[in-house]
Amino acid sequence: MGKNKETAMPARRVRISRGEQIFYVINYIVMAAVGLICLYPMWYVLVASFSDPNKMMMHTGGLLKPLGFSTSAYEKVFANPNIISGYRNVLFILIVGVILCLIMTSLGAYVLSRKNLLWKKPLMLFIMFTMFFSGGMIPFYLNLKSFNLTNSLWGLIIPFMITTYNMIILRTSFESIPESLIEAAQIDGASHMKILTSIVLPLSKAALAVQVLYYGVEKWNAWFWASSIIRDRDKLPLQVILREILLSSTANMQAGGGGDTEAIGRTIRYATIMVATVPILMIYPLIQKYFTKGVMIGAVKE
Amino acid sequence: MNKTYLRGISAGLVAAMALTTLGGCSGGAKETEAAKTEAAKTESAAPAGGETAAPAEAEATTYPIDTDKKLVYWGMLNSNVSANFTNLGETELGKDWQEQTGVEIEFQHPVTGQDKEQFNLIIADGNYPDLWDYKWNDPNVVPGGAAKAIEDGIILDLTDLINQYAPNLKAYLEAHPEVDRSVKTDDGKYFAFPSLRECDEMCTAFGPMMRKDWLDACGLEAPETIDEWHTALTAFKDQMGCPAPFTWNNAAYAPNNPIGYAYGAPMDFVIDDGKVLYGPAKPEFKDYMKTMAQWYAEGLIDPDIYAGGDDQSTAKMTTGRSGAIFAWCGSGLQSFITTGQTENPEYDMVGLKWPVLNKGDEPEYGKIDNYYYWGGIAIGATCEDPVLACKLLDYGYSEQGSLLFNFGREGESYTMVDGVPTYTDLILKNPDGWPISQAMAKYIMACYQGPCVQALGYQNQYFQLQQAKDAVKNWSDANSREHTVPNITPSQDESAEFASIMNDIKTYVDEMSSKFILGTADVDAEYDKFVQTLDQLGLQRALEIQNGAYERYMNR
Amino acid sequence: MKKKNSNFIQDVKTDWKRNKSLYFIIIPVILFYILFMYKPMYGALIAFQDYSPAKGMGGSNWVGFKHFIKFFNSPYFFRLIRNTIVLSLYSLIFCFPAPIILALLLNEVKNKKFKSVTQTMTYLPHFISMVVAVGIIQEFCLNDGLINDIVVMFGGERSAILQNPKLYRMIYIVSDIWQQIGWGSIMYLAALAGVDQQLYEAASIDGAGKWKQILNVTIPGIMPTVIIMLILRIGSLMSMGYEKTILLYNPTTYETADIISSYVYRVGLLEQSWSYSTAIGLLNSIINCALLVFANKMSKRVTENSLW
Repeated sequence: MGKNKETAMPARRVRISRGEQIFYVINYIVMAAVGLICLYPMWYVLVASFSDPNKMMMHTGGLLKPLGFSTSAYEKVFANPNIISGYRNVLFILIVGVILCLIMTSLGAYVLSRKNLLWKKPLMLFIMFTMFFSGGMIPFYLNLKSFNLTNSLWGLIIPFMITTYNMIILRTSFESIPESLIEAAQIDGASHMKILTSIVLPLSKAALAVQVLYYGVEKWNAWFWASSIIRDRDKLPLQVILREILLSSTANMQAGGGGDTEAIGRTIRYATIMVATVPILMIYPLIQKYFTKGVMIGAVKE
Repeated sequence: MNKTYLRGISAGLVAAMALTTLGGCSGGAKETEAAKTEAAKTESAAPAGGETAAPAEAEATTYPIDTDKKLVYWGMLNSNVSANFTNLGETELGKDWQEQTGVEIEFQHPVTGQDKEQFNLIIADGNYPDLWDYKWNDPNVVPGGAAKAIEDGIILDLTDLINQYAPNLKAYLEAHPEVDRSVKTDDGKYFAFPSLRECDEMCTAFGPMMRKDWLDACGLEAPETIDEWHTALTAFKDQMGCPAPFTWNNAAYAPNNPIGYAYGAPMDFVIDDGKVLYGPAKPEFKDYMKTMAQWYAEGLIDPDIYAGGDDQSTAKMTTGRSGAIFAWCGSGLQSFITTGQTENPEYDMVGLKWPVLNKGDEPEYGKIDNYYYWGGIAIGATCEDPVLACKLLDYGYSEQGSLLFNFGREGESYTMVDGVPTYTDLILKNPDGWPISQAMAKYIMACYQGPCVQALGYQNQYFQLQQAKDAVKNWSDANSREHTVPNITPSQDESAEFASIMNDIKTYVDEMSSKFILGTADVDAEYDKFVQTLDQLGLQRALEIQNGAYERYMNR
Repeated sequence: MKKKNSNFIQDVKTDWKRNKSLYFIIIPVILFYILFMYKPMYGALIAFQDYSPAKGMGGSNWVGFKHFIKFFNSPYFFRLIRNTIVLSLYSLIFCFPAPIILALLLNEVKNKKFKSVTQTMTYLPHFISMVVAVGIIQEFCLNDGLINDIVVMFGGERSAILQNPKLYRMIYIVSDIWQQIGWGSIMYLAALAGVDQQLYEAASIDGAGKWKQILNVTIPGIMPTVIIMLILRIGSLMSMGYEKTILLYNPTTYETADIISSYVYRVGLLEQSWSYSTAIGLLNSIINCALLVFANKMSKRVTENSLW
């Protein structure tokens, strides 16, 4: 384990054939194109949010740079008190939620990754079954109610502590940890908790980084249950507020006869999208470090 | 235009107010002491039916009520409020409402667009709010209607409570029997404190409109018939270079298409000679579809109608990519003109009369809201002090309450000018740059819905432009009321069946009408099959249910 | 017979002795599943009732298969099933392999900076919530929108893209790939990083070129991950989410767009018939489970990889 990373990297000095050269060139071009296509819509929203609201109203089609320049949309967005409380709530859900998720998921994944476990198969079935079979919305809600978790941020955290899919993925990567390491620790008398915290988890940084990303984005973008169970508006997370602002131009219709209200400006909607999306984008670079480091360690293998 | 806001509020109400002030000193702590649920039940055991002089017998309330109880309110938060506040309690209206009535209210609101889900879940979990603001009169939202909700123990039967403790509302309803009829269930029960409109003019804030400056440039009069519409749209396309002359937000307003009204066959239920009919099943619907298909083929109709929403149509109208639309007066006509003129000072709109088939005909059909336009605030069955809730809610129908809900705080949001409440510049020209609608939403509730009668004075001042005022008049100039289905409710047993049938039918009509218009289905070839399919989907049964409900309504 | 039985008990005993601490560790996880997954499942029995919240499950009438029969007799039954299956299959054929291909190609990019920048760019769309993503699609697909501008540039004609039932599935699938390709590739990139580098060395010493290395080392290396993902995907084949559909479709495209889950959502919302929509959902769940078992069995036979 103490091996230096550099020495672990294979010294490949293979001649590159002509076919391969062409492949590399095309590959770079294709990758660049894919990246740009993925990036463009976000870029569009960004420049649109900084555009002049009146010019934006007239505009159709694509945009490469802002039409005029105005920050009025952002001023309006940050003046909205719902956005501030939305940030506070979503951060709470994100931080507490992801920590709990990681603990629970690791526990489950570790046990299910162990060999020689008599009840492993039934346990696996017990867990997998829930991925494809669910009780439905009303029973789920009544269940929350019975634990007094409605109208509470905990109601958005506790029932969502494990995503089965993520647990199975983590299990798969735990399984790839060499059995000999664990056996050696067991012979030294280490408990399973100890093995999990001091051997398995440190060796699975890449997988855990992926888990943080998965759970993090899930928590950040979740809106359905929040919008269903929260009745106090100062407990609403950001995405719900975002959705509300995006929908507010059609709100008249839903209000039935309420009628005649002013539609919200287009640039405000784009600014809201930016405000609600940029913070979660920040997570990635933070985690990317661990991600690459973890990948290196993963490559060392015995 | 010179009617005061009081016009519609009855003499009976004024009498009640007089009583209230006279008996004022008898109120206070003693009264609330007696105001227990049991008291309400025993006292109201007296027959309510024969009471014509109810105001005299009803208990007048002195505001503020002396109580330390807190009531929970649940209702949708209007987007003009949520733009600046996290809940209604933070607005000046919310504060004044609590202060003037003396009752503390905790405001809870569902998320916009998710209100139906949350409403369902509340019903499912049994933890009902005390003041429950929702579309109680809409059988699609409340299955089985309000009558079923009362029977199931979800909300309280307010008949006795209103007779006993809501003198202001009671007086208004007695002075307006046609409104009274619409806010009851089939068996004559009250179930909510309704949101009402004062007069016809307020129920027609929606209709067709065109670019006035273009009509002038093409030398055309405001079109009245389908043919004149065709001429105008063609001129817009050919002379003004407008790529998609006729647009609308189809997802929201498809049933209100003026062309459909012209043929008397909108995509909705209509009443002809005392019978409820379904527009798409009327023979005229075929002609309506043929006209639309022809216009679409000629490039007169915006091809994006099925994809875009209000945003889309607003953008097209204000930038000259479309020239005719049907929309709301304020968020449509008025805001088009204001926005359009920033780029093009010539920009002007005119509200058109509902079109007809032959020149000189009087418009028969058009969109008109019912006076009773929003379900209102019901009292949840778990409420501990319904009498208090009742008194609180009755406030909005009193003289003072009406001023509060329609105009806000005197000296701040309005002042009395010659006895007429007039908005100040804080509302009309907000110093912080808030749009009128948002400034209003800070002080009043009548700009969307609330437990009050929306006053004409509010609308007249909200519609600042002369064009808007004229438009509303033009739209009300039709026989629409005769043909509009009032607030009828299917019976409890039929409700689920009706909803189920209509869900399938609506999906089918939406789909086929779009195909007819876009030309992917041929009207001549497929119309008969279309009608047949409607019958297969259960249209006759749905009409039977509707007609039954209509008859019961007329007998209320 | 007897011997076997006692053997089993013996096994349980030794297993308990050896793995007691593991079973303790997993207790919170099992509790979570019982309380938040299995307990609500009991509530799905309302599919066999005429459920009314006022009466509760105890008081509502049992009606047997009434709601299932109603669905089978619905005029939309065949269209819904067809649309659901076709859309799912398209998604399986096009959306599933896309991230794998991206991961393989990215893996061949040597320039670290270029690689990480590209990777980050492809992740972006995943962070955009569905409402926003669909809003962007609609804007680009308008008659005077960006896509039509491009079509015209290449000599085509403007058309209403979102109102053409023939194009609906393509838009759905392409936008799905756009949104998920980068994010989906994380899993495979992680798997690729786990492939033993010595295997590559060994292969190149044996004279294997790039193609051979990919075929013989890379692909077998990530195969277990691919298979597991595939099985999971097949298991949820029928449960296409309603969220994107109800945002993206409109009456002109119902013909190809309306799927079971969007119908359930519509029916549930408009009619509040909880029992009926639960029944359809239940049916969907059952089909899912059958597909999952089938996929797992096939995989076990063909590749020896399986979920259990």
